[in-house]
Amino acid sequence: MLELNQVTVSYPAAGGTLTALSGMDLNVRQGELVALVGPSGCGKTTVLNVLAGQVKPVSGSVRLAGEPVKGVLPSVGYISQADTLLPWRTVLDNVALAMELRGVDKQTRREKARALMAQVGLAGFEDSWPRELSGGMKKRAAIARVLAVDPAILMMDEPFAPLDALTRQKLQDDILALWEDTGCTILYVTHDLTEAITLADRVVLLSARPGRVVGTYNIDLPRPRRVMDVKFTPRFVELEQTLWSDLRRELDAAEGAS
Amino acid sequence: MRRPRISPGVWTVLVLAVLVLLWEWASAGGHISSFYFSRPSDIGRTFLDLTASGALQKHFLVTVKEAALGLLIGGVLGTLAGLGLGTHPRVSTALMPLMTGLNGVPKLALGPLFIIWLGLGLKSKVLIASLMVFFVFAFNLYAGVRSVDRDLILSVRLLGGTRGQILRKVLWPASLPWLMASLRTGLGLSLSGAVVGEYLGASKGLGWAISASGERYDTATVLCYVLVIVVLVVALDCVLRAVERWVLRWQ
Repeated sequence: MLELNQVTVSYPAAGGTLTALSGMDLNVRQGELVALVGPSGCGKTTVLNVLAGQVKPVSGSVRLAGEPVKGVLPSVGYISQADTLLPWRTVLDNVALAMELRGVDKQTRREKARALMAQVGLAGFEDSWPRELSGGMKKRAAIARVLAVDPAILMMDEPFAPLDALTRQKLQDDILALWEDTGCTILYVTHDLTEAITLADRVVLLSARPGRVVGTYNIDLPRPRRVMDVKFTPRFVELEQTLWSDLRRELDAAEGAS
Repeated sequence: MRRPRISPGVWTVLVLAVLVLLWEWASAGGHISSFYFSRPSDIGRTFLDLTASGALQKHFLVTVKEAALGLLIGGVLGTLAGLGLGTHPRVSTALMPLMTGLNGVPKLALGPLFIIWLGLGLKSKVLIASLMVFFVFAFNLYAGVRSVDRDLILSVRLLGGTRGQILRKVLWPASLPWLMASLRTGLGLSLSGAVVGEYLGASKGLGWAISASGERYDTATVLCYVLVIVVLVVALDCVLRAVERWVLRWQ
């Protein structure tokens, strides 16, 4: 449902142009959970920015459900690692924001926001200010805010990177449960291989800049998964070793280039 | 057991009371000249006389009206200018040097000119007061808009927010702390603008009354009116602080 075809992106930079992506191909099927992994600065975020219509590729095509991507798509939910709750709104009004932007009336959006908050485990914090929430709770609120408009595809850009390990693991479990429940499509960008293997159906490994796909790995671990269970299976370790050695090569290449 | 704490407000009143008593004692004992420095009891008596005759209320209302209109007009225009410049980087690159230059013009020194243009009445004072506050609002709101977290703007855009929605739901609320700060600064400035404007040429108002009493060496009346202005500023600032606490309760 999501297709990147020979996409090249470059930015003007000091002393010429910086090619962030070069001839990038990526296909994500409906309902698939794909993780995009690569060394830092490999253009992972650029891929999402292209898909979100924020960056125009120099060449190549980007299609979502067959339609070329031109701007922000209402069917895409985007979650970044930044804390993006509006600090002057209560948590409830933050969760209701996307519906508010789309002109949903107050009563309806508040009801739906309440239900979503309960779903992500934030019941009782409706009238709190974002500053009163922990990092993990803020992230849950951000997820609820995006879910409010029933996105067909979720794009997550290292969403849990700034959180502590325990919170991160809890949220990964929540993402797995959410994905299993809703059957939505998720494109998950991370630099954390373990996280990628834990969550994804497929891990796409990107090269050092300029980014392109160096390998795709089917993660044939059984579903439903739980983070703590899956981590210690022999197959997991095996996959992790394969991916690590390939990623290592890319990291070395990145170091050699700089 | 904890010692009960004395609130800072009580301290303020205590310090004031001691100063006033010292002043009264010094002028009663002849240590300072009550001709030049007046004395609290004289000022109090003058206050009662002036309120009884209605002169104080008349001058007070004139000045408050000028300052309020100045704050309103200067504040609204300054806010619009700041928001406009903040959201249009290319326009602001061209116009900011001009704004900085205009702000450098000594606005009170232009007062006589405004009085020539607009007469001795309300309009010239409102113009001085609004010019005084315009730049405060414009520069503050400009800085406010520019300092908004880019991630917030991007996230709202990705949720489908239009330019207008981003302005109303992100830039505006994010600038409110700067607006409140401008209001508190602007309050004093607009009052000084009005009072000094009256000094330069008027037939009523607190500034005119101060200037006229000064010419008569009537120090008690001068200080009485000055104190009225001081009390007014302090009282309004208290109100604004309460409003600020409520508006920015999310901080």
